[in-house]
Amino acid sequence: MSLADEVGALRTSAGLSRLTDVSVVRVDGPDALDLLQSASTQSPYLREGRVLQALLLRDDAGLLADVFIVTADEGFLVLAEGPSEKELISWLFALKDRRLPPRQAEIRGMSTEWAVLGVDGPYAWEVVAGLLGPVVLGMPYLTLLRSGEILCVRAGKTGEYGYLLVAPRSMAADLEARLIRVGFPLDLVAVGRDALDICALENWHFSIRTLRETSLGFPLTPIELQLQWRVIYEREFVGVSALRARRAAGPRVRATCFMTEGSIAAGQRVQLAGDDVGEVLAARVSPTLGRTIGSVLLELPFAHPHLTLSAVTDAGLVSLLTCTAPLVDNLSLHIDPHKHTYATRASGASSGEPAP
Amino acid sequence: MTHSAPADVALYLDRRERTLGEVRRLLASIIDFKGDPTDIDPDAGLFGTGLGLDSLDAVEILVGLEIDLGIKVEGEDPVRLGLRSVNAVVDVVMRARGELP
Repeated sequence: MSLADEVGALRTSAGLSRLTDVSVVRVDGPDALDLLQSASTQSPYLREGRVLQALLLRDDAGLLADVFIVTADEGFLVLAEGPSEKELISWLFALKDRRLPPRQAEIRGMSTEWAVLGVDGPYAWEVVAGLLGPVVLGMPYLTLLRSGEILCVRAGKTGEYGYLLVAPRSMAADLEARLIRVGFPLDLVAVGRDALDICALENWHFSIRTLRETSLGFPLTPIELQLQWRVIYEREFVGVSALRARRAAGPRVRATCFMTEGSIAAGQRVQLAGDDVGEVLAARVSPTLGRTIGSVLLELPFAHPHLTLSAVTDAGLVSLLTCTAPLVDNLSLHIDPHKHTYATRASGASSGEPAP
Repeated sequence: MTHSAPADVALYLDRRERTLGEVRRLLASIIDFKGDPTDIDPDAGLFGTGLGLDSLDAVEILVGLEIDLGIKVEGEDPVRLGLRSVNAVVDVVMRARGELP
């Protein structure tokens, strides 16, 4: 199965992924909520069944982790992309002890006990409903469903329907086999992180794996990365002082979406009429669009769509066009789980077409 | 601006920034945004992730575009009209004004 096939499945049917890079950490105890309050850019004070999508920042406001936080019994589960489980636990322990007296919270890595599977795609709901029942069809975005020992989180970072299934590792192989069996008539395909990240970029969903050291000399924060919707500035959390200072000083650059017919790589400089105006942050070939797409850090006055710029490559200047995100018209927007099925889908149904 | 852009680009960027401000203020009023509207990121999604608008907010966007900005958008569903991000709304306004390159 090629990468293009995997992306195609994510855009037209469904993809199943083993999310082995997602750290699963459980936080319990009387000060668990307080600990996560001070860790997260948004309040994890959650109603039952709700899921929080937030960020964990370092003291300098650079990104540590991209997280979903869910309530689990009397505690919380943190599903994190970015740091390893060991790094995240170490960071949380340091935060726990930062207050005197130290917070009373138990922090445990769960990745040896729990596995995380992802099901994404315009018909992902049909696959997951085949496993957990029709209750899945009514799950709003960022909600949690418990089914026995399985936690199902409606999330997704591809622009299509997406679900995270968190289950005891002892059940994972059986769960995966059942998903494959249920998904067989729906052309379910095993997909890897690469395909998921390309879909995320096509839809301008943030992927922490696109972060890299830049020439800016300071860490990228939610301000430059256009993630301020995940931040509540009035709250106190790790990194908020540096973030407020950055905001007060005014950002210098902003990540902006682009596409190009040429070949461009992360780290290359970008010019406008011969003047240096930025740096490519991420670039990937989009099988959906048949061209290279990505994110470019542009000086703020130029960080807008519809500009023709040039990337400085070894092969010379390569033209790129900044764009309005998202780049694709997701099939999921045109599918109603209560009305449609994969079996009765319209032949030649549009998917992954350029956004209108 | 640290560099001088060609005149046509500078004009576009000036108009873009102005329209972005108008759209940010419109969206801030719809979602009762307490902060500075400039904190609304241009590529933030409107529905689902991002600003988390709902179907009622969607109607308010269309009404606000017409009443506040004088832009009439044919259709009822902003998502199907491609209005999925702040910048997409800016595009619609600038296109209606003949200001997109």
